[in-house]
Amino acid sequence: MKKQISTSGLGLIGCLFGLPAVVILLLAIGRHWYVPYLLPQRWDWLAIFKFWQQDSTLWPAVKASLSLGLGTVGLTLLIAYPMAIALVKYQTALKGILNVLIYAPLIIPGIALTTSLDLTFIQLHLTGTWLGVVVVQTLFCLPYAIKLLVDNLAIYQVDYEAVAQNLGASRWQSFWQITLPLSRDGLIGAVTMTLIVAMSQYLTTLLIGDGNYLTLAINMFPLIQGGRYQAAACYGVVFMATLLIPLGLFEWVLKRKVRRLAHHEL
Amino acid sequence: MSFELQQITQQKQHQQILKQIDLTIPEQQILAILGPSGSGKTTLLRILGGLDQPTGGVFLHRGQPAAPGILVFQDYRLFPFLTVADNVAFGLKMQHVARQERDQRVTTMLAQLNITELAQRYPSEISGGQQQRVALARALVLAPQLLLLDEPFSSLDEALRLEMLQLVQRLQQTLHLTVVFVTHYKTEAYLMAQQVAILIDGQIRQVATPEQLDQTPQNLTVAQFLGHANFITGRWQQQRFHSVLYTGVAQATPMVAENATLYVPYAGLLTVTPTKWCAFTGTVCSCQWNGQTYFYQLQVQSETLWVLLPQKLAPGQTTTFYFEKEPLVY
Repeated sequence: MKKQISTSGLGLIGCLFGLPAVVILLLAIGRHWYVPYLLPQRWDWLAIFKFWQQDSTLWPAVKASLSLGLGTVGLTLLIAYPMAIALVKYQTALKGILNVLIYAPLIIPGIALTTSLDLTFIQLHLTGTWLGVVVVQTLFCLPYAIKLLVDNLAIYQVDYEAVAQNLGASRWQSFWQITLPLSRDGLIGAVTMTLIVAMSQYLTTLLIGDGNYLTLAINMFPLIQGGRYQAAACYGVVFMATLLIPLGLFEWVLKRKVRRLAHHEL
Repeated sequence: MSFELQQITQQKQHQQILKQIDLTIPEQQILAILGPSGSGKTTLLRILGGLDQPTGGVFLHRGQPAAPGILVFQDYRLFPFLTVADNVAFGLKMQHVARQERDQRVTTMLAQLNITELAQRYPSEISGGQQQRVALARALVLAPQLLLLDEPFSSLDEALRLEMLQLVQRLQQTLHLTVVFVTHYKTEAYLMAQQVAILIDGQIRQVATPEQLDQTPQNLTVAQFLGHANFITGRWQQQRFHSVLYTGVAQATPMVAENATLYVPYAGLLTVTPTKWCAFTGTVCSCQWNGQTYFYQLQVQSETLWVLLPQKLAPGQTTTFYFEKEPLVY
């Protein structure tokens, strides 16, 4: 009974998340999809490739999205990972304040934060630059990444680095051989969340990027507003692929590293 | 030839955890550090394992700064993503031991601890007792000069605990190990170690053999911590102890004052064989079999006392009790 509930629960979650993706795909490759038809009446299996060839803005948008997204992932991890380790490892009186600061970008309305940052960034000559956009997006991604990493590291509740060091490992070895493999799931979660949030950003990219970075999310918006659903769906499919390919690659590399540590290097 | 701790102090956030510890760890022996929770045992062990630096003092081996000992943790701390064999090999890998030698040493150690068949399993797939053996193997494979055990058997059941105690003793003898073993279980310390150091409130109060500890605790703090004894308050006058329960000669410890306490271990009283230290007459209130002897609650005038005796007495029976030897007075 319990198994049935969990299976149906999983099915429901799958439908909630999978159905929009299926609809987008059907919209992209289907033709003549009108009421009362449940499915499109004709199919154009090459529709996305044709759209790619015809629309000159798609490839630059993919490049802009990927460049900003991966930049944000890099900067976020650079800050979030050591911070998560410190939050788990060290007990400090400032922990409460740090937690509030970390989650502040989620508490303060995004528009207020972006507008005030825009003024500061103009003074710093960061508006309209790649770095400026990445920094702002990082601010919004940090809470998710830190939360995921902290939760993952806290599962173990044990200072494995100390164990490794007692067995003769250097600080670097204990991080590389122990902490990194232990945080594998947290890292995958943090990178996934960061890339999704970063690539979905619309307002911040537009405001701080000063229109210089026309990402997939920015290009998609006028298509939807203008009723060009098929074109928007093609963008949607490309968006999903752009998101899933680097994520899949990252997960594969990290899992391979842990497997190698477990079976080959030792 | 031994390991020496000289004037070791440890302070954390204005709290003195270890207070000028002087301790000698004899080589190729087991030394137990026995103390209540929060007495600083683990802190001391972390210093010996090089995980913490003391705020003062030195740790020497044969007059030179000692290399850190290898720790076996209370909760084993096996790396969850490595197999048993890889866990055991970890330290050797960190020491850049060649692959062939590494494999050979790991195989030998797994065989020595009877866990060869677990080599390819992960820690989550083996029992607590097996994890304990793996943790021991992981430390022993490094042939440590000093092996540190941090309450390693506290989460095991009684039978397994005894089995592990015997295993560690056997390994200590065959591998000529120097072992420091931390515990708050008196029985464990007594069964395992040749020497026991009592650590209370960050200070070493006494170092002695288990027998010496029970027979002559150095002071009242040690005696009270070791427990299994009655403490009778009275007065010390003219080389005699005076109380409602017992008035007579007693062996005075150096710190004895006029308001004194008589130390009467549960097992330090006799009924059958009279001695020159006649104690008191008491009535048996209750009797309990503890697996080896009878444990009695006695009523002696207004006082309640606890006694361990090999022979059975019926509740309500009144009998005379003698001290086995001259009692200690603090």
